[in-house]
Amino acid sequence: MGYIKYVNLMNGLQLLIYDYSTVQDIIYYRKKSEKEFYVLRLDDFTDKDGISKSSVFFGNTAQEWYYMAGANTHLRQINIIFSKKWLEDYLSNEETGEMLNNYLSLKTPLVVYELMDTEYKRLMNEAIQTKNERQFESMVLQNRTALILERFFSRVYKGIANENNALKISSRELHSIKQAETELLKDFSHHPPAIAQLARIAAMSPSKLKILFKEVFGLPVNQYYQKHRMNKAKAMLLSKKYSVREAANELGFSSVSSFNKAFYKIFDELPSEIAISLK
Amino acid sequence: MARSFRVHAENSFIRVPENIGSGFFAAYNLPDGLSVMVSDSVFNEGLSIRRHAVANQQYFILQFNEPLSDDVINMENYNEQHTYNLQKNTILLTSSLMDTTVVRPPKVRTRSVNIILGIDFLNSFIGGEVADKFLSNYFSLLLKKRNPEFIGTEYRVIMDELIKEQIEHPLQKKFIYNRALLLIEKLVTGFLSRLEKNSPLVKLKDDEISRLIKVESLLVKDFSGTPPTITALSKIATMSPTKLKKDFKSMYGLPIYEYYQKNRMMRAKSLLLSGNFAVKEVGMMVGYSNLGHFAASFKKEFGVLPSEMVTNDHAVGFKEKQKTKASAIA
Repeated sequence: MGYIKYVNLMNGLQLLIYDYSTVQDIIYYRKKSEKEFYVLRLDDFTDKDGISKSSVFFGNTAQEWYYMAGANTHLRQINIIFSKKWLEDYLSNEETGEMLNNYLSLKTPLVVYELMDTEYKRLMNEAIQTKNERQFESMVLQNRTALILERFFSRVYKGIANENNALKISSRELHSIKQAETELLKDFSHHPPAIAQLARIAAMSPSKLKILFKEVFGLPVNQYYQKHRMNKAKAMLLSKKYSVREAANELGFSSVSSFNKAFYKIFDELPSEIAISLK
Repeated sequence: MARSFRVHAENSFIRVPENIGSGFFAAYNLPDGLSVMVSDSVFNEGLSIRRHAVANQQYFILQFNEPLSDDVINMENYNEQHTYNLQKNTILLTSSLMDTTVVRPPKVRTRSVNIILGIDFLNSFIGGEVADKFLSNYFSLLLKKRNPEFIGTEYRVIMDELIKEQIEHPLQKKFIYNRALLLIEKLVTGFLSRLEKNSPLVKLKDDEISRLIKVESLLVKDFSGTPPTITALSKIATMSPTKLKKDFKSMYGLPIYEYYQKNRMMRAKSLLLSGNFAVKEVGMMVGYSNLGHFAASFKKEFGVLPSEMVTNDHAVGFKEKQKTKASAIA
């Protein structure tokens, strides 16, 4: 029950607004897409007990993602969709633009995820409530969208500024680290590349690689690898195309029990529980 | 402009020379043909700026002016056609197709935001139909020497964000652009919804309006003490308390004390968001001796506690995915 609204804004932005309640459990699953688009998504769920959860998500379509909502949940979402070209244009002309662009392309296809604060909530409410004033709708949506984007990118910038106080890293090194990261996540079915091998790819010493990797991606190399491997596992299970055994095999686990253990460590539930919850 | 002051403009920033007055002007060229100029300045002598009509291209000049003076100075040539006094026409939209003269009184500190925008941009931004309705109604009121709109709280909050010598923001251009568009949004939505409600505002006389502007500026000038009483305000406005209450509401949309309280809370919010003060300090600055009362009033206005306003501001980092996925599952 509810509605989904699709709006094209000035300057090639697309906007999707959802405001509805679920009758039964739903799973929303977004597959990787060949075309590269970015999405800034504001979610606000209120379940039947009146408990609400809200978050801000930023990623691109080269990344798989999904979410689930229980029955009788009220969902409100704003998706702001734009192309890589749009983002480049948006950030050009700004002093901090180049730095932001570098940072985002480095983190892509990974995501930024944070809890929604009051200012985001206010903007979201104002955007969703425009249905009362039809004649001003496109103008109000245009402005709220612009303010959400402004808030998001300036917060990303502040985040980088804080990180960089501790992190002295050249753009060439960033690029090398990113290459090593791509290599690390290329294939989960075999053993991950050794640190020594990654260090060669990045053309730096193993110890330097380890330090910089953690600075840039927030986790040590192997934990980072494991986290992405298990996320992949969860996505595979949710797609319903793989059994627990197949997923374990595909991701290079020698036994189902070691897969179970690794999965439980990260998600606090067993792979079989995911499979059951889907039925 | 720089030429007339005989100063050299650096990076579109002009400081008013001492022999003429004081203050500054800062101008920004933004995407979509938009320009914004902000200023906080005083001139020793009155200023009259004449703009000749140009026939070949149509653009609009939208001015928001806030004179910081209680006294309304009458300039002689105010009654001429197409001549506007910044002290009365605090919000003024003019078109490049008409001759206009804008006069500024001497020795009155004025904070202003000017936005220059093309007609095509206006049409695509607010929609052709709404634009036609807005412009035709606005200009017909303006030509009748009526003052279509006034600076109130919401305008003032946005203006305060823009009127700075140096705007510190990582996305400075977007920041200015978005604030300029918000000002336009407020003007269009405010003006048209008032028009539809057929507000009695148009019945007010010119000098009544300027007295009400004076009352408003007095009311929101200082929040640290107790607000002026209605009786005191009605003396200043030289009208009866009943009339003052009725006319104030029709002009600013809220009863006097609700308006006062709303402004007080908005001031508190902007002080909190500036990050320079503790909740306790802000409470004192807006005249609360009891912090519980402050928190309750704040929550009533914005739906959150003052403390939630400040602590929520985490830096964006790259967070652990497993945690975030869990939080997306409702």
